[in-house]
Amino acid sequence: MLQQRFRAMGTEVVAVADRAAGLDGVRAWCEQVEAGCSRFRPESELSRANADPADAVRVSPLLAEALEAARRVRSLTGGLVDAGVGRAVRAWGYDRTFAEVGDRDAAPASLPEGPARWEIDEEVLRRPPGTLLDLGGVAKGWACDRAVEAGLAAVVSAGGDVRSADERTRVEVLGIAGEVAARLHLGAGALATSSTLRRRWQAGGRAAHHLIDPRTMAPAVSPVVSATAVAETAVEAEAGAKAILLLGEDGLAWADRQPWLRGALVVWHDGSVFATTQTEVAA
Amino acid sequence: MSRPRRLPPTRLVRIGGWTALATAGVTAVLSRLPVGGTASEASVSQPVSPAVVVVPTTTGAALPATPAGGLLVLYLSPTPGVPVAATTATTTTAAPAAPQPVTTTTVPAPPPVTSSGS
Repeated sequence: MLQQRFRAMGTEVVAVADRAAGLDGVRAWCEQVEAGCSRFRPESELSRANADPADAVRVSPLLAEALEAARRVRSLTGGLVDAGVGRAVRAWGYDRTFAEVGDRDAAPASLPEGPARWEIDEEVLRRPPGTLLDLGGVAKGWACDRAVEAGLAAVVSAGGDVRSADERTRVEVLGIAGEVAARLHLGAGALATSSTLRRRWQAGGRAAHHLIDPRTMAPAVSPVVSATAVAETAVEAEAGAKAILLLGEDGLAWADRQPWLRGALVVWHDGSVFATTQTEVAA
Repeated sequence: MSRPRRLPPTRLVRIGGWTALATAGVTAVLSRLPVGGTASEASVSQPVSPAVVVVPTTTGAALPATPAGGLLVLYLSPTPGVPVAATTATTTTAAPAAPQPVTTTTVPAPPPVTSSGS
């Protein structure tokens, strides 16, 4: 098998495939997703849709499918993980690629009351003009899903989101200091980790990070510093991981009640690792 | 809100591959999952509707000692405390302006994938 590492979608992508052509296909696909779904590229289709003054915007099949994935994430999490928080993400300072984000003296002077209302239907995006949709991790998870489902690769990982069609796939979840906090035998399935340990900065004297809580429109305050979810697809795993982190103390109990989640674990603020009872932590 | 509870040993053995460790470490496990527990000032309710839930609004609130559910995983790394920096994806390095480096290696099977969040 061949393993390839490259940077795309603002993170490191690792793909494993039998054929070099498959790896080339994964790389081209990731570039397509970034060109369509990045909010950091002014020329991306998402950036153009965000800037469009019309109430309804026709989008490409690619962006429509990514938005469908984001809508499913919103539905699965009862609105807790919503691409409509983009304006708050930007207000808190994540308004450029993370490498360019710096500390700022003040917290946002004003914030939206909640996520923007948006819908995607028949490749038409409807939302109030001025809405900033942020596909973020959903697009990465969806890209992994589609690459594996299309048979381009057996395993694709993008920034902690993993989709695998290989029963031998194992995953090492990293802890606070970058050490291995837990090993999981993933097999065929998907896993995603959401963490507030990285992509952090200071805003108005408080720690800020990229994970916005739609209930406060501020960076989430949670005893969970890293949440990992296992599901059938990376989009579902991404939804689970973010929701668990946002729910904090109740995150694992919530995960236990979601039939679409196969398992979950969290790294607690003191470095302890907790897992749901069905999670198979490997030796 | 449900509180951390004492977990029966039968549930501990459901952690695959950790039966012996969990049995030997049951005292330690239970000591980390106290009955009752310190009340949290940073309470979080279920996400039925974003409009009606109570959420922590400050970073100064005391953090709970344990989650409301779940089992403590006693994990003994063969290299405890050693960062696996070589395989950790980093998001703080600016992407180079030159063509992206692509490394391809031959592997007998999918090697372990690291997941640290992004």
